[in-house]
Amino acid sequence: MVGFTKTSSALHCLTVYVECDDGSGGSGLACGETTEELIENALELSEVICG
Amino acid sequence: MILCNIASAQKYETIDTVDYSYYYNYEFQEDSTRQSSIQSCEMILQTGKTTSLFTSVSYLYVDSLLYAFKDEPTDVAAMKILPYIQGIRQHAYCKYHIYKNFPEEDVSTFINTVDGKNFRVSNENKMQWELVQNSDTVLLGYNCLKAKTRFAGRNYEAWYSPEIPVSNGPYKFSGLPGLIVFISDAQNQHRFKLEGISKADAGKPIVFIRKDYIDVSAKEYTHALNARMARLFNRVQQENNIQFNSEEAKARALDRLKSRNNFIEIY
Repeated sequence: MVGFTKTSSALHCLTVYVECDDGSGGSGLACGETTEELIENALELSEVICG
Repeated sequence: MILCNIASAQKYETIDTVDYSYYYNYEFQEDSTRQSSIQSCEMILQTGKTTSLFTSVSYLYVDSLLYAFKDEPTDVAAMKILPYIQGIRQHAYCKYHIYKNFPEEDVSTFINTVDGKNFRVSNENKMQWELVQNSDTVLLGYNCLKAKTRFAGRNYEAWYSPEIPVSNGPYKFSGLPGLIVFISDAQNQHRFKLEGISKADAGKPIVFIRKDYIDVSAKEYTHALNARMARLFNRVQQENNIQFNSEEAKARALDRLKSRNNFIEIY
């Protein structure tokens, strides 16, 4: 999972790239005002893309 | 400035220290209509002197990273944490913290964040168990006895060991004269099996994160969880800030989200 950060007021967003064990994958935007929210949303993308 | 204050309105509080860690394998049928839809998570019960914490091993690991980088700015902390969480897949049915005997004796506190809302469900630890006479077996080397209960829409059969004098167990289960070594619902759709006991983390803090929680009933929480699945399904379907590297991968994701219809608590 890699990404870059951009900041808009208090909201931080990351583009998260996910590679699954079966070779599939995808990417998405994870945003949050706190580190916890941001990481939670990054993990949610991972959960959705790879199951 | 106001936004910053809201964002930091959380505080890590040490409420106990770990005495023992009990590792459970949680297997569950995520689709109520498909017996083959078995998923699993490694879960951990940490017991202290007065309280305990039950959560997933991977979630506890993420907690430790968040705690380690709690004083860093959000963007810096996130970039430092991301490399450590590659490969972690947290199933929604395993993502929660359950504190027993917290904030007071005989009360359990279930917390989780769903769609940005911090939910808290409080329960009294008052499970009504039927102890089954003339039943015994050996599990993980411990002599175990059988007990039955009904909880949140399901009937359960548990095996507990008086040889481990801890009135605790996985998920919200507790109240037996010994640790629950194995528990399953009657349909065998949700089961927890003790895999090991460790003192390796003894002395480490059991941490509760103070936040602005929304107090809800277990039923309301379950509805929020189902609403999250519907939101994620729509997000994937509309490809709203999410892309897949093939149509097949997208179809699989939609199928998985649709199949998550069998949460442990039924209301």
